[in-house]
Amino acid sequence: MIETIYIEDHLQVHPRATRLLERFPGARVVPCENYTEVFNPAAQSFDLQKQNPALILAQKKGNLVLPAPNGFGISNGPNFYFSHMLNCLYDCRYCFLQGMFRSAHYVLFVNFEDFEAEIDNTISNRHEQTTYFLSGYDCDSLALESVTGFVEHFVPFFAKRPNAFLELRTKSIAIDGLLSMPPVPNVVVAFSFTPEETTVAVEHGCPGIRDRVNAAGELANAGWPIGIRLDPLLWYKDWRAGYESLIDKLVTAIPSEALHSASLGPLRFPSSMFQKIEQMYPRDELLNGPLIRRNKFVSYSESREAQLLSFVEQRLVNAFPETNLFSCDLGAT
Amino acid sequence: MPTGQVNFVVALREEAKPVIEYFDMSPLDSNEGFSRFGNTQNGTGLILSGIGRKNAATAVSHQACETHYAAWINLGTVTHCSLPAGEPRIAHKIHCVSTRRSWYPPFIFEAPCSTATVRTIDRIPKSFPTDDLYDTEASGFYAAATRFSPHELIHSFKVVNDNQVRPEGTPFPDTTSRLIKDTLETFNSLMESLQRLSAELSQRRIDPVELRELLHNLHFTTTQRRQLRRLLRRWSIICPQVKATDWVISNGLTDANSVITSITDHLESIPPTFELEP
Repeated sequence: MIETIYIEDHLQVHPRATRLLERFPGARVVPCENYTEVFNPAAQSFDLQKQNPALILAQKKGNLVLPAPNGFGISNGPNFYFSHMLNCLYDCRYCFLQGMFRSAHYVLFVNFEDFEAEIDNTISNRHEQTTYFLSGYDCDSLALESVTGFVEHFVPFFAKRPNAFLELRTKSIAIDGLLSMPPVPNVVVAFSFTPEETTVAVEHGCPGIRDRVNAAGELANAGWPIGIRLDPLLWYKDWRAGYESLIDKLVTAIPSEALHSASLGPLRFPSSMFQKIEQMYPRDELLNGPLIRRNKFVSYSESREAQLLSFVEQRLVNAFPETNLFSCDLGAT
Repeated sequence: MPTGQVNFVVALREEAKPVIEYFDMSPLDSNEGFSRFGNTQNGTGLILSGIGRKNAATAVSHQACETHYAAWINLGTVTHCSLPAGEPRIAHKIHCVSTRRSWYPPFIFEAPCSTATVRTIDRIPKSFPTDDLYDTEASGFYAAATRFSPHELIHSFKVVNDNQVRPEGTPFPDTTSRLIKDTLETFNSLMESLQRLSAELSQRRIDPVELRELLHNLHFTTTQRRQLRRLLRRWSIICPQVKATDWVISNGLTDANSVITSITDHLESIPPTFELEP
């Protein structure tokens, strides 16, 4: 799975890095001074690298916890995000990561303890206000758990901090670790979904929709708070039937009392990122669809977006009347 | 599918000789200071750079003018403190000792032999301070090649020549050619992987088939040509069952503006299908 591991020179003795190297005895290990030497150079081909990404073990310095971008929060309180990892195991054609980073290698920041200290700082600066931390902004929170040990480390940490919420955002069904722990009321496992047709067409390498729904249901039944993320909403032939069928599956699998929140978001690419992504995948059906430039974004027309948002929102409210529903619009981002 | 192009940058004629023979290359026009060879049938080219990183960089720039979306391989011999002569290695890190810059060629295919760090120095030292390979071209080659192709298409393939310090500028021609020749099978495997990637990139840039016909029949400005290229590509994905040129004729479109507007409107009205396999 991982054939090449780049490691910052000073981490060769870091216990978490050492354990990872031991897990991949056959990997080619290449030392570097700083991960940016490998990750940041221009003229890398993100899509070619995606065929066989390497793992980069690095130390995150500065900006460990950042305010969540407008429209990405899961509460009306203060929302922050932190990224123990850059890049994702999956290859979704609507994902902004493919336009944001020059490299598709997975960067794992092994200094978890520095993140913890910064999270504690952030919590104490909010003076008793409930604070939300999102962990799946630059990566999938669960997909590489067997490599990162992120959940195993951070869930117990948040369990001891009841005035802070952690959102694990994922398309993964690697839930064994969570199921082996007692549920933590302030850790929300938020699954991203699109209808079955689009999952197959544009969410390359992701678990199928039934498996994801089942995983969410299993965790819900075990007592974990669940999030439903329908972001981005996709417009295609028969999209109404697709979303109805998806929401039917969700309502059957997830008891409404287990649902912490649901959120919706339109398809949107920052214009400069869209240009890069389109060059990489010139024959992709989603990217060749009816997209237009609006407010520095490439997205569907306002009327299509409004139809999607209102239809799906209505169906979600009908299915889960009590849920906290958050919606992101282009103006917010 | 296009063949893909692989360019070899080689310092010495003795190193190049077996490669030229193996890939059946012929001499090309060499009136600008570099000897060049190539074979258009199998998509290979070779340029003799001479010794040194600056020569390697200049050779890359020279060769790049002739090819697009090419893969690049710097082939040559290296010295190492203990590895036996004839051992092939592909660079996983190239470090320029003079500038202290490093590059990390990504492996998106299975490497056909072991990999190593290559340190590029201006003069081969009398002793080797690290357990790495030492050469005089790789960093100049790599830095220059990244201006023309993505990193994934650029590699440095090295064969240990000897682990003895030899007087500068006095390679052992027969030994060098033989050592390179013995690794050609391994080298060919690397070449094939890179050629596939070069072909993949070239394929993406192929113009839609009907572009030429429409450009021939109607006058498009430079901006409109770019718009038309993109629209025809979208057309081939969204409406593959109808020829865009037939549609233009059947709708009586006779100028560039109306072609662009009508195709845009038509494509906007068609939702993607994303149908599940039955």
